[in-house]
Amino acid sequence: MKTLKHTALLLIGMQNDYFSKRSPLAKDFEDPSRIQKIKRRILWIISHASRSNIFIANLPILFQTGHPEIARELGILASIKKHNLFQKGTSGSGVIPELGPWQKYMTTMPGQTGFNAFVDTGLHEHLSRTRTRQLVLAGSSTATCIDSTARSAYELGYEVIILDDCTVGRTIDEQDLYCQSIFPLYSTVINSKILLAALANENQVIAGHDMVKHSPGITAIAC
Amino acid sequence: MSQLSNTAILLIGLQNDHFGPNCALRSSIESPERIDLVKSNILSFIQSLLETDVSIVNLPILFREGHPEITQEIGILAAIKQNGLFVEGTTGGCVIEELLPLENEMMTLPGRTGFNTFVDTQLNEYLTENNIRQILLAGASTAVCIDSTARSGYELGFDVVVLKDCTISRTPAEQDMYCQSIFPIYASVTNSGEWLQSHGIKSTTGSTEHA
Repeated sequence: MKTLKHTALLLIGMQNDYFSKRSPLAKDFEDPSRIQKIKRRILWIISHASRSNIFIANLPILFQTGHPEIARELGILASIKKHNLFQKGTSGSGVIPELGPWQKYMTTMPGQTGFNAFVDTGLHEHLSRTRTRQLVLAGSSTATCIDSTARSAYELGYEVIILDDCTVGRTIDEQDLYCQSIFPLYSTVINSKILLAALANENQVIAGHDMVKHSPGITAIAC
Repeated sequence: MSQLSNTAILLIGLQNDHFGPNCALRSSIESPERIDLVKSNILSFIQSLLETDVSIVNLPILFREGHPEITQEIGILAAIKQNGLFVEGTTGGCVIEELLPLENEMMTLPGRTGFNTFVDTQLNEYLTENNIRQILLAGASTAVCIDSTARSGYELGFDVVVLKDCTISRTPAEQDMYCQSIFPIYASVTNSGEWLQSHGIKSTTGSTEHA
């Protein structure tokens, strides 16, 4: 079992275009007030994590001007392209202002131009150097960047933990479905309270390794 | 006949442990008869493609005895290790017997020990060298290797097409959810018959849509 010494908190997409109340993306999310609640909860987690020796990585998603990365103009990606969201150099792509005071406790690793925070950011190289083994994911959004990053982390051999109350799905059903049946395919899903308890006691283990036995999500051994 | 040389079909996990007669998957998913339907749809689709220049790429997942490649203690890979699946040299790890006569028509790219068929294989190199831009995804399973491969294919700039009648999920509801609201984020979703028709390719046999 690993303690928090080997742990990193990955903050994914903590940017105005996801978390600002005035973001044009709000209409792509059911009950956007969830986003504000999750933002406050993530900030609460950061305030505790910053007192520990846990490594905090801030991983914004940034598209090139004109969004050449988005070939398929459907749904959320169409909205992102239409409104020039997450575009390098815009205020919307900036990190949320509430994160400002905490920036000195975290390392910002830009470079991500798709869903996967391991692509072009140097994240894996950094985590390998510091022998980080356990990753806790928080941010937006569940079916895009959280899922892509978590899958990649699992394949790279990290122990992946996803905070079910600090990640946002486009709909409430999507969030529930991911937390109940998709994320358990490659991660342990916990509540932020469990992380806070572990942060309060540095030697405490965040999550057990018995998910295979206990997760109802893993009904099939299909790959 | 020269057509669609810029296209490849990726056969993901078409091995006995997924699609064989008494495979472990059969007892652990909802409505296991879907396995036979999906397999038969894939085989018909491949038959139709033999007349074209579409590349057929076979991407098995294989481990050595004892699964030393799997260090993960949770999730599907841990379950695969526990259940001794997809082992090199075993019947379960072999490509399904229906594909054996087509071995000369397929490019088999081994090396994969995880969800994503681009990792530890020569897939990206193969597709790039052959100027392939469009990849059609078929096999098992939807929420695991199909989704991981589709996401990675999208990131690498390929035009990704998920064949909904040629992919299998753990439950029919999961298949519907992926095809309706997850795959469309980064891929086109169609069924094999429609794809053939829209590309003017004659179907050798009909495909059957599962529930």
